[in-house]
Amino acid sequence: MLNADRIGGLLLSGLGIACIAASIQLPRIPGQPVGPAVFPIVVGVALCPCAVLILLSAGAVPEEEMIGDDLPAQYSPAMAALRLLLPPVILVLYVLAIEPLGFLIAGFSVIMATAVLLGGRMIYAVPLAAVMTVAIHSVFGTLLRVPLPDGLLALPW
Amino acid sequence: MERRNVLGVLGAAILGVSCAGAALAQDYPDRPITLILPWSAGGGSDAVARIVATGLERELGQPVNVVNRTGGNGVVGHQAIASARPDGYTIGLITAEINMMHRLGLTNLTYEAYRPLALINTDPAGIHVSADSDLASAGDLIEAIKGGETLRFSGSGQGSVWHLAMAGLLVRAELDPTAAVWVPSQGAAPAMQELASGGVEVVLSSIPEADAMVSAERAKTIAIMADQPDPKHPEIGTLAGQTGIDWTVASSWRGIVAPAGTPDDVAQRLEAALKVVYDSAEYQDFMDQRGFGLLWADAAGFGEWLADKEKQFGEVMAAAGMTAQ
Amino acid sequence: MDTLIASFQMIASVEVIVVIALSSLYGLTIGCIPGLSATMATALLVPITFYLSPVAAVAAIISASAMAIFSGDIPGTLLRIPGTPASAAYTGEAYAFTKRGEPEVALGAALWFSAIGGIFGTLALMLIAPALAELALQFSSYEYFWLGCLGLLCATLVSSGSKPKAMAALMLGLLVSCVGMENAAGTPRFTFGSIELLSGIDVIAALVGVFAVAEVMRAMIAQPAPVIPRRKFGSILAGQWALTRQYKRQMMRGNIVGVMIGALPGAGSDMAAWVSYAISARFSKTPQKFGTGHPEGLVEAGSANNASLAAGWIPSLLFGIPGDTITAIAIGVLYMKGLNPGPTLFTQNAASMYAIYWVFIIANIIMIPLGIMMIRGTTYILQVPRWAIMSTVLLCCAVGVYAVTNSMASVLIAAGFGVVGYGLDRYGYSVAAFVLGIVMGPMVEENFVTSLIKSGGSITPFFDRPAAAVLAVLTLAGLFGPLLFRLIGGMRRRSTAH
Repeated sequence: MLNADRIGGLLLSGLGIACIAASIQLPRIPGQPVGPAVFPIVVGVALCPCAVLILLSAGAVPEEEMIGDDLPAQYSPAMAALRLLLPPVILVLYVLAIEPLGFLIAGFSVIMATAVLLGGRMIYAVPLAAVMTVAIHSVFGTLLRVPLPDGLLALPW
Repeated sequence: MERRNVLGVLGAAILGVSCAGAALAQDYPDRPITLILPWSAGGGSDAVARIVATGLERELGQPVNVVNRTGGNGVVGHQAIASARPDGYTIGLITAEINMMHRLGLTNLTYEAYRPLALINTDPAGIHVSADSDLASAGDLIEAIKGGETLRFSGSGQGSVWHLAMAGLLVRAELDPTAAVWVPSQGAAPAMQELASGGVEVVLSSIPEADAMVSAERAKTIAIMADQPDPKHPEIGTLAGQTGIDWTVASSWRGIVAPAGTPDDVAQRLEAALKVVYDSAEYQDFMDQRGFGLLWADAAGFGEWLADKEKQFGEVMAAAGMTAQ
Repeated sequence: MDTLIASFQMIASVEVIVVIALSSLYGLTIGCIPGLSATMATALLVPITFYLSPVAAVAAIISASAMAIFSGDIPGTLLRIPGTPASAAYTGEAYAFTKRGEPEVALGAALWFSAIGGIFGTLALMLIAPALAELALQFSSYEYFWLGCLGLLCATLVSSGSKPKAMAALMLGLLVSCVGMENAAGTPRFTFGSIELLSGIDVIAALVGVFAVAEVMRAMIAQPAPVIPRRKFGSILAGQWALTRQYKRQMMRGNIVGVMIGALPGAGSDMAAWVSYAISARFSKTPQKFGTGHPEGLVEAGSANNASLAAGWIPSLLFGIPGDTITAIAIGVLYMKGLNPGPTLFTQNAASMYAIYWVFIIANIIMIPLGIMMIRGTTYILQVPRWAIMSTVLLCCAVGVYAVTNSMASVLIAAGFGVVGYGLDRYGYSVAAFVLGIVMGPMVEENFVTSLIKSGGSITPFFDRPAAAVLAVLTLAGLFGPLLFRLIGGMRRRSTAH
């Protein structure tokens, strides 16, 4: 955790300074004694001492008190990082695909991809994805009138 | 910068006409229509949009879904209407902010990005003060500011139509535009809260927005910025009647538009349907019950209204120093 | 008496009963889907209330929102993915019960104390609404600023682990809330030229990201947790009576704090949950047990968020000023149905008012049997293989956040915040404090800036109004109190050592 906290502290102090620098450039509003810059500057200023404290106490916290530090050594670090980023990447692909392909195809693919990546067997994942996609579409699209794009494939109801 | 973008919008509009015109024909509409609303569910505009949507549904025989695209003081939703495919399957409800947001430097979007269909409502600004306030008329208000008192106004956000109402009042009364303070708020309700707790002296908002607090005897309406007194509140005088100041331009209004480039036959079909909806007992009763002002203008009239507001807002905003550099 | 009978006839109709039942089920379902808050459940109901009678329309909103606030605790407890922001304060605590194999204890407490809190809030609405509304109207932006600061102080109390990291996470959350142009100046900040970012980072999208997407990410690299052997749950309510007696002080404190926060316009059940949980931790005899699956904080915060929900109707009904985001939507429905808020509602429409009270009480009572069914049903989720749950959760997230804003940008925001949330949790930064910053940021900033605009830049009005002065003292004591105590304690120890 020593290095992680050093990097975290540096990142946070950098962010605090960047935030102050960016806020100073915000325009002043005529007729308002305090403009849009004040609050982000206050936050940025408050962030810096927190970052310094984190830097100073880096390594001081005993290992077992760290939260979420229970990674199994099942994957190599590179592989683990790759797998970690998969859910956000799937969501990004979903956003790109939903307009041309429609919700049913995009949603089915999201469930299929995630299920298989998490070790689900094809034979179970396919029916699950099909049922869930149709169910979600019926609840949100049909009952609650959320405008889910139809794309290539639309439900009959 | 701005001119280039207007040209861009026009170019896109022409392109839109040539592409979309051919495919559409007599059988419009043959699938559900989306009505984009730049404001959130539960507000006054939401109610109006939903009443109109139900009426259109009956007239056109297809579902009309209201979609709330909120945020950015209306910029996000207004932009979404303008950039929708101009095929008549996406229309929108736009509000007075369209004539202001581009001058505030928030967007390059102007009313020219739309094809106007119908104007369906307008509400003038009411001047509300606390029930125990010494200000009994708009005349008192002007005198107080002239006497050097710094009055604090609220009613909605920075750069909103009610902010413009205050700025215009000062400009037309030939007072320094900084003689009064505009305290931004998230809407009429929090502003009325500030009024009751003594945080501000004056709230500008439409009459129905202040209704609950006025009937609770926490606030009183001293004047409205309109040509004629409100038929439901004839006892409230007009600004011009009380002070001789001619300033009625900053009213809130709601109109239905389609993206620029929507084909003529589709637009005419929608305009005719909107006229029926506007005249329906359901719409008239609803607006009357909520206390919203009724005003109809057809597509051509709405277009002129938009152009006229654009010009007048521009003059006052420049004079009051509200325009972004 | 006549109005009482008339009001009873109003709710005894088939329509109202069917509506209450259906919207209760709807609220329970929506609340437990990650990404759909109680506010969203209400907003999605608006088009449907269009077709209902006035009392039925209000009944739909009341039952759906009450159920959704309770039900938001379910995925939080079972999967560590809170369903609503109001549950985010104590998700870690509730999840600790599940890890220990006792999810039904936490869920039972959430249900029982939600119902009690809801009924307490209703009683406050019925009996002391005018007095509370009077108090609420005294609050100006100065008081709200201090109130917001008190809320922020909860950050270090609701988070276990390093205090500087919790503060840093809070500040990060506040920075996130700066994005967009929903600030008092109406000026776009940190939007990088994007139109979508003008409306800022949606709280729900961020919440879904840091909890739900991050949980799916964790699943990608961790071994599935060993399936907890299914054992027969005892009566879900049996243990609750003992808890009620043991923690009756905490429960009452939660109820009262919930009612106060709910009745104040602009602060809702989210804040009530955080503040109550923090109060509970601060005044507990065993603060070290917090975060390890200890019911005390759940009792207090669970009562508070439902109590605030009912109390939020007080300023809404009397003055048309919404008490929270849910009643902001409900006011629109009231107007639409001709039940215009204001004191005349209590005189001219007294029967409808009583009918609304009835609905509140009924909704909070049927919450118990429906909730038990829901708890028994949903705990089977723990037996379902992880790949099936997590893949469905991911799609629900995508659809849920889209439904909130009707914008695909929200899905991208949720994806991005998944990475942020995973990183924060992995390196010991409190995710709860981060979310608190996002939730409270706009309120604190807006009231800070408008206060300064009103005072012309002077800070005296922050202290010279009576209510503001009291809140200021509380805030400063909360901020510097622990430091002072430590200094005094340190000096005393040194002097005794001499």
